[in-house]
Amino acid sequence: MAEIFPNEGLDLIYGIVPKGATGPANTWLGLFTAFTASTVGTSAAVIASWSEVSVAGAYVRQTIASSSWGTVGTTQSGRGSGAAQVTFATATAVWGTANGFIVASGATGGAGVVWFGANFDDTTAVVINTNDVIKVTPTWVYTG
Amino acid sequence: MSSAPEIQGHPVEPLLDARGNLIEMITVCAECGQARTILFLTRDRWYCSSCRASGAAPPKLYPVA
Repeated sequence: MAEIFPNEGLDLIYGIVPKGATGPANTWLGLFTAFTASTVGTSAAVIASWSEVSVAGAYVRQTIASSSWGTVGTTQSGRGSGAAQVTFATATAVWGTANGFIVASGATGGAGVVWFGANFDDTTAVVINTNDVIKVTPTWVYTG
Repeated sequence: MSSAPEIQGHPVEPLLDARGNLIEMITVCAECGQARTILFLTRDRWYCSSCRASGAAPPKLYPVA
């Protein structure tokens, strides 16, 4: 499993600490189809690089409230936390093959800044077909 | 946040905040019991990709007299 804070996400974090910008009340969860089930984008990746699932067939990004993040604990690669699970609406068309999730800065699919991207923890690509219903648990890991 | 109704009797585990307060119960795979990033709903049970693919997901059927 791979994960990354791309440069644009690091820039946002840098703006908050140490530069003092106000942190967001929410982030948004999306699914990406680029790369593989065990690889993610490079530091230079931007939203277009991730090939997010198209906004069709009832796919929309899901809100992650900042208050929904759980206890921060030690992981294999640093300090991490998981947020409350989000359930996507039933797919009304084929969404394609998802290799992982992104945590983005806005609700509009295919737009905004990616804070963080990661594969699913079982490093398995998932084909999301019509009538599938999925739950995703966002995670976020800072490596030291 | 989750918008789906809870399924009574489904395996879950707690998600706690930094103070140990419960944020919500996290649904885990109904077959292997592991908390996974992604779960699929099959009838009234959630399964991870592995259990769903290996055939664990089909519900157990009982004869009805």
